Amino acid sequence: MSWWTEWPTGVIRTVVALLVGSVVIAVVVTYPGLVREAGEEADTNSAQAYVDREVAGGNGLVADQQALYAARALIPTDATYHVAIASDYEGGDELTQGHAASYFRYALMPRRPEEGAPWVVCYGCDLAEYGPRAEVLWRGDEDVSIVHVPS
Amino acid sequence: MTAHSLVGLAGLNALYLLAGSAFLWLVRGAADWIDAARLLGLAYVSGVVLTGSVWTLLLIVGVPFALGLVIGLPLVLLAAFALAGRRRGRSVPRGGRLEGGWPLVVTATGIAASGLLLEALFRPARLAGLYEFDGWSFWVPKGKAIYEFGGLDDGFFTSLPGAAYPPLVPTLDAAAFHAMGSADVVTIHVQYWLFGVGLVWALAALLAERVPAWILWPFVVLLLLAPRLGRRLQIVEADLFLDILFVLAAVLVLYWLLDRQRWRLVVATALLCGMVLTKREGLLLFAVLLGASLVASARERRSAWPALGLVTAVVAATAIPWRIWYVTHDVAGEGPSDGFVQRDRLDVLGPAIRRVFEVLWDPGYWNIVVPVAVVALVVAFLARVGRIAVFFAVLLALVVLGGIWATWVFSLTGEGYVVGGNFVIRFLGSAALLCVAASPLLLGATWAKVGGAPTPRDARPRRIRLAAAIAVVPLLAYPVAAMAGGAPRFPTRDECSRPATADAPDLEVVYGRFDDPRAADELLAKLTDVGFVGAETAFDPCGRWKVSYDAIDSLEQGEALAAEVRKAGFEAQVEHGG
Repeated sequence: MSWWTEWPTGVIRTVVALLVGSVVIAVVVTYPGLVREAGEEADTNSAQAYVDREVAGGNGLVADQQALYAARALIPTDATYHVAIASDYEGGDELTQGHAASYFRYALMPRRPEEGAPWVVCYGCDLAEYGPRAEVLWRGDEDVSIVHVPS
Repeated sequence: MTAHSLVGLAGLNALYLLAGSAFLWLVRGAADWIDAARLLGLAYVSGVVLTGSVWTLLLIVGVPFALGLVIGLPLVLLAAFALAGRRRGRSVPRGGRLEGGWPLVVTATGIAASGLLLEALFRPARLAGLYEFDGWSFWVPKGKAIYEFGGLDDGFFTSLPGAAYPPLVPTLDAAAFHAMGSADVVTIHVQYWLFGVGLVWALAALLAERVPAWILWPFVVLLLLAPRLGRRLQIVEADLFLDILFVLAAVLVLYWLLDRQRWRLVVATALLCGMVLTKREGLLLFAVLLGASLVASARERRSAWPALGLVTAVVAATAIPWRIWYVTHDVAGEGPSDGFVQRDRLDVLGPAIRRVFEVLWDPGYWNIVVPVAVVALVVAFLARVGRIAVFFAVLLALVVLGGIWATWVFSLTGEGYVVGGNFVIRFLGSAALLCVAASPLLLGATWAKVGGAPTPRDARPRRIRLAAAIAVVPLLAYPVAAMAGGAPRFPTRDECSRPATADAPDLEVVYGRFDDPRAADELLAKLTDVGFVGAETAFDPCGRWKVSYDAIDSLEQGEALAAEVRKAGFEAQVEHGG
């Protein structure tokens, strides 16, 4: 017993053993939870629809998943585009106004974003401002449109 | 998401492992196969860093990044290191003998516990969507830009957020995309999980040199159980990758200070070079590691400091090309825009200090990692273990000070902002991971000072079969149990097409699926023109526009309609809807 209690080495031994013991307890307590959580998350990920998994961080933010796929289908890969969001657009979530353009930049690569580009992803915008030649190629339920403005 | 992606990724990572193993063999050699296997984790991380760093430097000078370079460079490195190793007289490892006894049984238990956790973490990683804001905002776009354009495209690399961040991690992403055959932003999570496996293997192997198994393994498993460490191994961001390099480099530098084996400093230098090519925080972490090394080696400064100076020169030479690139491309620098000391923000300093300690102490982030490390430090000082305690005390203090400084000068303030925001949590991952490495080393050194003498090795039964069973059975049983619930899925865009073979309430006749919504509308118009009315277009869960007719009561009715539609020159199939 004195091996564990003599001052100072015994006490230090005791503290080392207690520290390792506390880590073992933390491991034993939290281990099953992590294995269970990982399994549940794997099941959730596996059960997801293809689109939900692929859009992931853009779900909600882009307001309408279809807009993303329509933009991919309609805007040529070597073209430039612009994401325009009306200041009073109320669709999507709290990130839409500030970050939808950023998400499209990621999702539409290798297409390049550019101000004044001939392709526009329009969120509730006034199409009249693109002039009479602007052609709406696709319009979704959430007031998102894919517009081509011939140069 | 496909098996093809996984196989490609496995091939790329095998190349990293081979290149890194050859590098380690060149600089260190291998006593036997057990020794070589023990260090495979370090070899893998070294291979990733060496290959990735050379790719990055080549990209900076304008070499196109293509599949040939992705496969060719690790092979060239492998051949070069192997040839140099032969010339240096390194011999091929032979045989090997496990040290048996209860330590081996404890080691086997630790391998099983950590291995099973890694297996469990692999499952969600394999089909994880890219949800992390920084991941889709700039890390992955940079990787995609390298993959799509074959270089550091000016348009994207100067305009994306974090433009000044060095491109090592995006380069590794781009290499993974090439290996997978596409920019598969789902399977890329497995690449990061593999970095995590490399960390666990490398750290456990290094610590095992100086720490008894009963002290070591609880900490290795705890690493995986800390929410902001283990649960984020698969996150497609650079923070944890940076922390991995930092902590492994720190342990190697400490060991070099203790035993002066030169290979340790060589490998540490490679990891430090990787650090300064990963994030701007890499420069800060390099500086604090250098500071701690200088303090811990003050008594032998004549022999140690010149070597540390050489390391600094190599790391600086690696860091400079990227800094030249971004300066010449008019990208704002990595430092704080208002200067390194901001007197007008002194009011934020107090909250920054509080925030750092709140985050460090939060078990919701790091479990009990930090308080255990602090007590371990105190105990190590009481036991007078010397340099290990000084090194970690200085290093941890400098990392925390660095965190406070960065939180102070980089914090956004004002309404809606928390001082430090998410940044301070990500940065302090380096401190927490350092605590995981420091604690067993401190406790191991303390125990050696005050503990009893170990049992003579030859007197112990070897218990190798028992250890093998403990290590292997759970690692095989877990995947078998997981697959008992169903074979793994490899989702594709075709999974939404589910041909019907029996009556069901969700039957529909599908006339076609299209990537382009205009093509779907055209088909619908043609069908309507020839009298097939009632069909409609809808967006399916696989990202295609489907033209279908769903007022079907039975398979027989559906087949009859499909036959009629086919007779009219269209395609049609009875499927399950949804």
